[in-house]
Amino acid sequence: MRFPFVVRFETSMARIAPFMSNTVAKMRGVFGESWEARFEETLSKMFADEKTMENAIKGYVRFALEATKLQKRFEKDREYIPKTYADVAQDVYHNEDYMRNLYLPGILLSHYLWPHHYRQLMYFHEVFVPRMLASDDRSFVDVGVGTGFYSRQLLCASNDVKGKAYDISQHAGNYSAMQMKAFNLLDRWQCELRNVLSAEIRQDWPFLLSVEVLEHLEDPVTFLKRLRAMLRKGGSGFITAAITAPNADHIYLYNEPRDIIAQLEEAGFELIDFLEEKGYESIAEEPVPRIAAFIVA
Amino acid sequence: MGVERVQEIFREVFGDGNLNIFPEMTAKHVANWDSFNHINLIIALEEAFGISFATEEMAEMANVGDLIKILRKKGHAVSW
Repeated sequence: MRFPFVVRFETSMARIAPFMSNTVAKMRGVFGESWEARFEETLSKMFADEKTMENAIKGYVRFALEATKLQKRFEKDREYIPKTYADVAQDVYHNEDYMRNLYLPGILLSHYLWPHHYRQLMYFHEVFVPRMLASDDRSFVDVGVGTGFYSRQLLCASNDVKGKAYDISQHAGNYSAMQMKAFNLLDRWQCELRNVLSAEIRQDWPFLLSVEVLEHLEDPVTFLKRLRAMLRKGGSGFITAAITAPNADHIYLYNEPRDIIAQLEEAGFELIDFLEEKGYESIAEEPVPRIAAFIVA
Repeated sequence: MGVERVQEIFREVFGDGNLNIFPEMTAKHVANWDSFNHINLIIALEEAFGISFATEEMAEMANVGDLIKILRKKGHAVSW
């Protein structure tokens, strides 16, 4: 059996949530063996224990069902449920049970189980990682580290990559550290619990990540201006956002990539390249969840 | 409202007028019971019964028997 952890995941998923039993097979069918090998590596290092894997699957099922139900509501209303940043910080980022048991495992597994999230990952490896590997200075900052997934991708790209992460959630910091530990990366990465808007922050990073943060903010432009200040002249950033994709903590609605491009340019970024991907095809012109990823300087 | 109404909802959501539900029925017994139709089913049941399902409850409905139990917990005397 070449990918025993993926097989175990698939079997457990079919038992826990029979209505999601085709998820792994669909991804395997579209993305093939390279997808399966990547998924196997993550499962074997982070969810090797049966109970841990089962808990992660349960978290993912809840995360995905919540998002799908919100999407159905969004199809009618075309707006996110009104919430403030303070609301979502309390309900989500500082809620240990929600973060550990639903949100973080849900997001982590979505990188492999949602086609648009996996396509974004492939784009990251094809277009952004080579930019870092071509540089003498391979240090990066990850703002809004979340699960630590993208930090891990960069750290695994080469043994001389070093990174620093910021997040406002202690639970995200802990989960990210758990991921780095699983991949033996803790000696090249550190995480600080800090809001980058309200602190003295280093301002000459050669590489910057900020993955799916913008849609969580009341004022993305102020945040983007801070990111621009953190990136050195000639540096490269990878910034992404969700589009027409409601979630428990999404408060800023982007309808098109051009909405985000306008904000990036207002913040002083130069757009180098971008990707837009849909979660699935719409049937009757209803809005579908999308991601957009931008490489900026 | 009894289990007949639940069966009606299943038939509407899955587009099969001949679908007969039973307690052990899961997604493997119904061709297009995927996560999207699971949510369509949830929403149809919420509207029909005037209730709201929590995330935990949506996730726990692995079979029709589980679904009926949750409806009963919410005060609806649904019986086979």
